[in-house]
Amino acid sequence: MLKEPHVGAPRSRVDGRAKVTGEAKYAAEFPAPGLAHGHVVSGAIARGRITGIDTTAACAVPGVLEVFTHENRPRTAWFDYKHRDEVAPPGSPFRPLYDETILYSGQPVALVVAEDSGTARHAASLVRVEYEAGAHETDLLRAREDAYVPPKRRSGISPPPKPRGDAVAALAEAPLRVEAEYRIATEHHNPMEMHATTVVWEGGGKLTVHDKIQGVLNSQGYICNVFGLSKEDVRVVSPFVGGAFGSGLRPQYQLFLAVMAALALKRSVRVVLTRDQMFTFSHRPETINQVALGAAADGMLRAIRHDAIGATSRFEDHQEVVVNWSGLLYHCDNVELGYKLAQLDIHTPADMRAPGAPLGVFALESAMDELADKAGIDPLELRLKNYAETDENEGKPYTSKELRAAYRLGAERFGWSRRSAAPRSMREGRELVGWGLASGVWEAQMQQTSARAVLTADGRLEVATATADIGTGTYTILAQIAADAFGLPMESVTVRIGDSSLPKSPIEGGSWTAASAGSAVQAACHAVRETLFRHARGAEGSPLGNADLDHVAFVDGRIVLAADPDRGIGLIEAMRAGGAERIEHEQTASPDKANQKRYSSYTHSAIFAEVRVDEELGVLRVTCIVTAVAAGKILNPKTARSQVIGGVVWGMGMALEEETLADHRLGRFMNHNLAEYHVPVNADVHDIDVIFVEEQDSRTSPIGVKGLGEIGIVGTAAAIANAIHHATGKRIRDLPITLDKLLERPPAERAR
Amino acid sequence: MTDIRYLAPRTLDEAVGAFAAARGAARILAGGTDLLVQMRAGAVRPGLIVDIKRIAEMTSIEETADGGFRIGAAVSGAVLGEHPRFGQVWPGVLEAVNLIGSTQVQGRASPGGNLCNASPAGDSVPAMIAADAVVTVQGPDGRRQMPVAAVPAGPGRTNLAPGEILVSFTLPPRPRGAGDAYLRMIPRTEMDIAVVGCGVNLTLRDGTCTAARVGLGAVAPTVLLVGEAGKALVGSRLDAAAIEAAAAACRAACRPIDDKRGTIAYRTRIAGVLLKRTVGIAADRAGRA
Repeated sequence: MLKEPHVGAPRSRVDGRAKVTGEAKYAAEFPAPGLAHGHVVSGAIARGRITGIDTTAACAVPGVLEVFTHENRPRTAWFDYKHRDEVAPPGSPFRPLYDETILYSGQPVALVVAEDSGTARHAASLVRVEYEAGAHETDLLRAREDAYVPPKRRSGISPPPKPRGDAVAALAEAPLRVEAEYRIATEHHNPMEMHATTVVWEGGGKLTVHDKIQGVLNSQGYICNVFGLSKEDVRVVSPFVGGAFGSGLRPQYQLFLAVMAALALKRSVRVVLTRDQMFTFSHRPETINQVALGAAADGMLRAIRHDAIGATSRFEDHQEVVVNWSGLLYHCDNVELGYKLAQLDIHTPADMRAPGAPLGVFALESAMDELADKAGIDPLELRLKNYAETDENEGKPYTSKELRAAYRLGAERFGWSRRSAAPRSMREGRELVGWGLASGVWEAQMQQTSARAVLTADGRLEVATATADIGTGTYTILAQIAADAFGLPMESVTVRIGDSSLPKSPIEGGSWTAASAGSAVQAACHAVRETLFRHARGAEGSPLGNADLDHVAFVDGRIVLAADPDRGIGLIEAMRAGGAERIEHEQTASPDKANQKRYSSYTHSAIFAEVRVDEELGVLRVTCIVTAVAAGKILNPKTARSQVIGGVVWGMGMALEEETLADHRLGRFMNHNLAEYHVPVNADVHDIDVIFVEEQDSRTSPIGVKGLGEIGIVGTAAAIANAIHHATGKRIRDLPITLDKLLERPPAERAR
Repeated sequence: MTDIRYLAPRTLDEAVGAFAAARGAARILAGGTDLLVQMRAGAVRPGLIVDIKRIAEMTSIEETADGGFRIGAAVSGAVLGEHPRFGQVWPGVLEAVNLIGSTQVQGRASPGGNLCNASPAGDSVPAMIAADAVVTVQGPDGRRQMPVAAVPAGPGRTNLAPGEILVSFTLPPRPRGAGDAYLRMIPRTEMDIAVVGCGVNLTLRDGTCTAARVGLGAVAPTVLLVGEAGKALVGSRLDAAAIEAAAAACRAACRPIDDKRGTIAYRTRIAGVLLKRTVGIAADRAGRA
């Protein structure tokens, strides 16, 4: 009777055509009359101070407008708290060109602004900077001695839960023990689009700013605070973001520099960072995990200890949820978790896809595999045995948790039952074959978000909220939700996002955007529907008579009686009847506080990996990944699948390739380009099978969504590392698992 | 930056004249897949760029009267790959040339550029050395020929005299029973720099190896001709002992560096493994030829 709704159906991206034709504009692509171009000069030492900057040669280049340094920069907010953006961790945020102090290698020390970008780049190479270097430290293995519990917690980041039971005693008594250290290298986000800002000087003190940012309101607030501007005068418009993965959560230094230059020069300015400079800010912190598991002979967990140390800068305490997952994934009465930071002379790390989770879960799920090995129990059986029915960290039930089904469906699809238990027991040709699995978990959240819906008498619907689409498919799912509310084709819906003048939305992150923006759009559409329905009922001879909203359906541009769909009235007709040219409503959707208090909400996954290892060469291929994801309602299986695949591929990178290496003598990252910083290429990626597990969740968000952005990466590296152990008998506990580690380490190295 | 001159002469004499006159301030542009990257990184700042792609001799492929090949230094990998005969006669050399960069890079990058870039890890070079290819160079003092192995002097440096331009490669005619192959080891599956590259060219007569040359890349400051490895194979029936001896010769020849892609121990070990596998492929091809 009713047509299939758009929500739940695989739909292509509504912005796909705009992206592939170049019609979609990114931060560095917006034109402006009289646009000047800025090029950043990056500092050369890790710690110390600038003793002199000679800009004479740069200033002499024809076309150079100004060279900004800490010596001549315009006055901005003096107090560092003014530089705190909405997601800043505790501490004193980095203030570009603030003074002569050097806090990390690659720090911006000057901005050259010229009539064209080539001139700016050339002139930047002529700026001479003298330094007085101080002693620096960039080696976490040395700095770990001075690790500390962050005195002030970062907003939105749960510190480790209080210990439960007595993990130390239980561990000492446990018949089976696994104790080991697991490390994950520094990683950089490397979105395809460089960080960039175009500031359009509108005159009259007004600025339009196109910034690469995951939340336009965050950039707007930052600009207003730092430069003392009013929100009416600063509009941030970033409709498209070419990937960010967390690097665009906080305003980065190019935003400050571009706005500073535009205000000083009273003209439009663009600053685009180079790929090299993409390694001079946010990154995933290098992290050390120590995990100890104690279990009975049958594999039942008796004790879990997990302590992590994450790197941070000298000026901010960047915190992530690294260890809490270990108190959550399995039933265990004795759990003690700890999380510390160690300061290095680096830029503050930043959230990167599923911040914290893949780090801690790699350690926990590797240790579980080691325990399975020791106990002689199938790794899947071990996990099912220790399955946690409730959130034991907080003593709450889950809003929903279909991880058991995920294990079962993933195992069936993968063929896990055909696994031969012993390491090195599966082989094909000259390759060893290994099968491994791991669990994944990520918090499911909703954030307060506002949205506006406008229905016009031409039958078109516009929905708008300030959120961002960083390539995730936000445009598309919002169009689906809005179209369904009125029974319209998706082509009749225009989605507007990424504009600070639109209804308020938090930053796009944490996997909460679909749940949050989606619920807000639906609420706004429903408000419009109510008004429309009143017009419809009031129309002369309306067939809807005394029906109320629950008794009608919106189908094919008509409002019809659900019981008798032949009787109804067209949307446009209804609007005319009410004399309305447009119906507009703004609504705010908020999470249900009572549910939040009573329940825990997480997404889960079960990841199964196959690797093939050419042992003579140490060459390793991940030939198959099956990941079964339980994430509540799936709005669009097509974009959802892409999201998860992206996460899985990144998990492969984390397992095998990604690593930003520091030269500790210079305190500098060495492989600051994509030729040396490796991410998987197409030929590295073989079969990836994504299963969405049926999961009903009415408590996380009004639309049943739990979020998908992060879950794909969590646990993937652990599943691969476990498969490598199964193939080769070698347990590599520091990521990435490069060829030399695989080839040169003896197979017998076991956890104590 | 903005004061670079660009010249695209139609004759070699013109190119050599301009190149020599610039006295070291000039760089040759073939595909530009290395040069432009180096310029962008600020590593080189030429005052003059001499584009050689309009010179017919440098962009053509000829089969010589004796059955060999002459390949212009600026012939792109893609063009060489589309030649109807070259890949049948020198499959190993072609594999090596076609491993330089991505599909897009293949449309530009040339074996001449790969050799003159003088990276120890250049993919085409070990195969060219194994093939006993000879290059023709032309400078202010005229033309001369030198073996490929003699061109690299060290990382980023060649033995070309000031003002000399690499013109072409000449590959000798193939006897019956000859086959060649190239394998490289890279950490990821594509788009990477060789950790070890191995080119093997051998001739079999009635199952006995009568000639063998082995080129080894990325294990020393320059790509090596490993004479001892070839000697170990010649006269044998490519039995396990002979191949192991050749592998040992390769390992012994290694003087590699440690870097992100591989340690000294790893590279040394892999040199032997690749030798064995490359000999296997070359021998198969020789058996069919």
